[in-house]
This record gives sequence, structure tokens and C-alpha cells, in this order.
Amino acid sequence: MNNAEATIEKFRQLEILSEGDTIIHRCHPLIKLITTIIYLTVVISFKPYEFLNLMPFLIYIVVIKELSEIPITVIWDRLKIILPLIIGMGIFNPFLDANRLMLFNLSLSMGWISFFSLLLKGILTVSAMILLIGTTGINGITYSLKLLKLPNFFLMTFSLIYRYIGILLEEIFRMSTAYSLRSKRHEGIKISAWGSFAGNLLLRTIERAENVHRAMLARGFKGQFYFREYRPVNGFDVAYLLTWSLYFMIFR
Amino acid sequence: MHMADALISPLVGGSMLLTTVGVSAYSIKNLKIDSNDYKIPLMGVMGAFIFSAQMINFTIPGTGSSGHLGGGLLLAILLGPELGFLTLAAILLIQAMMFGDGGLLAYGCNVFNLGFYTCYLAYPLIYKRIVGNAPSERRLFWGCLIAAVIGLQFGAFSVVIETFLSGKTALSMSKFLMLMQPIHLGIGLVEGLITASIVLFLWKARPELILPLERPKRKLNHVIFIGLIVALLVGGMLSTFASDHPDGLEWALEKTLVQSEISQDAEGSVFSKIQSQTAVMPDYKAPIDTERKYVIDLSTGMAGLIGVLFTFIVAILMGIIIRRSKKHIANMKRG
Repeated sequence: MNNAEATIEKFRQLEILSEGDTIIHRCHPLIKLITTIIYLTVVISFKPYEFLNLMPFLIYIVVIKELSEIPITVIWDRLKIILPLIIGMGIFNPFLDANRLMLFNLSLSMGWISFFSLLLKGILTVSAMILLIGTTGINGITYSLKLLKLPNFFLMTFSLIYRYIGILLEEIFRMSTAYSLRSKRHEGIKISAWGSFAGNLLLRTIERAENVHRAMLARGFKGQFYFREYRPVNGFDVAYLLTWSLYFMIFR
Repeated sequence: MHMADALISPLVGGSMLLTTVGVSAYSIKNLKIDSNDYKIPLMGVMGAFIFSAQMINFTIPGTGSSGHLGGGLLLAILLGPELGFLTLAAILLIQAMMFGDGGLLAYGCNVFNLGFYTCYLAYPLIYKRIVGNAPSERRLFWGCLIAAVIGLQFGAFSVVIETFLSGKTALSMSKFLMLMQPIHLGIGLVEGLITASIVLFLWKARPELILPLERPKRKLNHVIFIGLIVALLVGGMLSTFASDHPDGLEWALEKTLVQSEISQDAEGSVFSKIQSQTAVMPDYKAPIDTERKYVIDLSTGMAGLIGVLFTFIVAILMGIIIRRSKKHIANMKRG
């Protein structure tokens, strides 16, 4: 039942990591976002049998991970969520692919290559994403999205959701702990309580929204949300983007 | 059911991202609310609620396993389709970023699969039709259940199409469908039951939250809007066929639809030529030739293995060098 607790921990962990002060952390958020998007696009553009060509893209992950001091466990925690899905999608390839590969007199299905390249793509894309958030933080991402001209309305909703997730997760954690302590061998919520458990929380949530709105108005809210501002893009940022883009281009 | 970046091709991801931007722009345009409207904090807090409520384990009777809330339909019921869709889009962005669940390039696919079908298809065409203007417990229950199941079936179908067009699985489309649809029927039923329980609870506690909102009719707009979506989707997907480098699609099609044709046409001879030049053991050639198979000989295999090892070593060395130099710099600073 401690899904909520684990999630709170994951949020805190990334928040703390994003406050670091390394060369990658100091790079402009928008530059990091664009570099990551280019990286992801290039990685997923490789064909199923191009396993070897993906290898140079592992170096990007290693370099950024080492420079930004993001622990490998943070990346592994997220990989655990997504890898079963990727394995499920790719595991049929070795059995269904009729093309053969001769290796040391051994005839193997080419499906193994497409399977491992899919797996590697999964690892690379998830790692790149976590390294981006771990070095930029949600505030940095919101600021980049603002620079990319995403509507203010969407950005406000996005940051409000992010800010209230912590509070609601704590509330769910308290409620579910109280529930499981009072129920016999029931870890989850019984069907008879499905509606009232989530419904009560929902009613309190709606009341909370009313209070939040009143508090916002009392503090002079006029529909303008203020986001953390960052310094303008400098020469280092441009060099960072160009170097990586060149690297990706060479190996594509 | 979140699609991962690794499971899509750039073209499919790009087309779906464009489609999602289109639906979002449509949703924002239709809202016409003040920027200091009460709905903004409501969306924020409701989004956080749905996100957090997905962590609750709802025990499924008699199975020992637990189900989870999806949220798209509940958001559409409480906030209306436009706000529901936008809130779900924001939730999915946070999920993709904080958990790597989903991805930046697969973001469009995920918003469409989980948000569009629930908010713009299941909610208006199924839930609202069943519930009508005079909700009752029975109508609310069946409305939630059927809408959740159908919304998720469409979502799962979309996942199959997107994965298939991206060419990431060797499964044939029919087999993939046979695998995905029944699983999501079960998931949809549980999700529908959870949504129905919450809606029925609210119906007893605060019925005004469930009452259908008075909305101006925009039937024609909806038709044009849905037409646009279909056009974008078809356009995006069809361009895969027209492309010079048809990406994984060609690969997927080879596996399923046209395998026998390809094996007999001229392409087979090209491969046999390549093979005759590369094969180490020509005796082994005959059976492979007739079935048109790629052959990578020993030397290529070795080169591949060496390549993998080499890259790993380079990657590890890079890591060590960076660590050492950082320690060195830190020592210099202290010294």
C-alpha cells in the first residue's frame, strides 16, 4: 500500500538532484531540452537490426550521468517501470523473425538483434529523460516550455498539478495507512469502500480547490502565473548544443 | 498502457504529437474562460487528485490482485471534455518526466490514446447518451462502465496501430490485437467499476457535481473537428508508406503480409548475391537461399562483437576519466 509513499520519495529525490551545481545543471534548461529531443529522435530513428549503430549513443548517457552526478539507482528505478513493457513487445521477435544470423557456426534468429536493439533503445531513451529532469527540474522544464510558446493556461495547470501532487499523495498515504491498520489482512481497498474512499478524498480536493482559489485572489491573482526566470542563453549553451548535435549527426 | 519512446518511430511520434497539439488548441479555443477563473485551481487540484489516486490499490474481489484508476473519464465527467483533456495532458507530461513512464516523443501518442478517446469519444457519445439529462444510479453505473471499457478498447487499438506502423514488434497485427484487446477489456472493466463507484458516491453526496453542465451545441464544429483529426492521422500514417525510407513499417510488413511474395521476387536474388560474397561455408548456402534469409558470416559477427566491446570499454573509460578529473579538480580546490 505504500505506492504513495514511494512516489513522494521519487519526487523529492528528483527535486533534490535538480538543485545540484554541476556543469550540466548550469546549462540553460531550453538547450538541455532541445538536445534531449534531438537525441531521442535520433535514437528511435534507427531500424530494428541496427544494434551496433546505437552503441555510440550510450556514451552520451555515460558522459551526462558522470558529469551531472545523477546516481545510477535513480535511472534504474524508472527503468524497472518501463522495461517489462518493452520486453513484452520485443520478446516475440526472436521467435517470429525468419531471418537468420550466422555466428560461430551457430544459426540464431535475427529477431534477437531487433529485440536487443529495442531493449537498448528503451534504456537510452528513459535514461536521457531522467537525466534531463534530474539536471533541470520541473521549474526549468516549465520555463523552457514557456520559451517554446506553450499556452499560459496549460503551463499554469501543469505547475499547479505538480505542486499539489505532494499534498494529495501525503493525504492518500495517511488514508490508506489508516485503512490498512483497521482492516484484517486487507492491503488494498475492498470493493465496498472503493467509492467512499476515493470519493471522500475527491470532495475534500474540490473544497481545497475553492480555498486555493480564494487564497490566490486574496493575494492579487489576476490570471498571471509567475515562473522562475533563468539567465539568457550564452556561448557555452550554444557550444553544448552544437557539440552534441554534431556528435549525433556523425554517428547517425 | 503508456507507449514508450522506444516503441515508436519518429514519424508516428511526430504525427501523433501534431494531432495532440491540434486537439489541445481546439480544447483551449472552446473554453473561453477568464484566466483568473476558478477552473484553473480546480484543474490543478483535480489533476493532482487523479495522479495521486492512481497510487491507490483497489483490491479486485476474488483475484488477490489490484486495479487502478485511469482517470480520463472521471475528469471528463467532473470538468467537461475540454478541461478534462487538458488536465490529463498535463498529468501525462508529469508522469513521463518524473517516472519515464511514457516519453517525450511518445507523449502525443499517450495523450491521444488515453485522453482523446475518453474525453471526446467515450464521454459524449456513450456516457452522456446513457446518462441523459435525468441521471439515475443505474444509468450512471452503466454509463461509466461501458464508456470506460469502450474508451480503453479504442486506446488499446491505437497502441497496436502505432506500434505496428512503427515496426517495433514482429507480431502480426491480428495476433497483436488478439493479445491487447482482451487484456484491456479486463482492465477497462475494473477501471469502469472504480469510476462508477466514485461517481455514485458523489451522486449521493454532492449530486450537483455530476449533473450535466449546460453547454452550447456545437454539432457541426465537432464533425469538422473529428474530420480534421482523422485527416491528420491518416495523412501522418500514410506518409510512412510514401516515404523513401519506410522505417520499421517495411520491416513489419515483410514479417506479416508480404513475406511469401518477397521471397519469390527479384529482391531474393540480391540477398543471395550478397550472401554468396560473404558466406564462409558455401555448402550451407542452398537451404538459406530458397527462403531468402540474411546471413551474417563469422567475420561480420566477430566485428560486431568487437564493436560492442569496444564501445563499452570507451563508455566505461569516459566515465572513469570524468570521475578522476572531477576528483582532481576538487582536490586542487581544497589544496
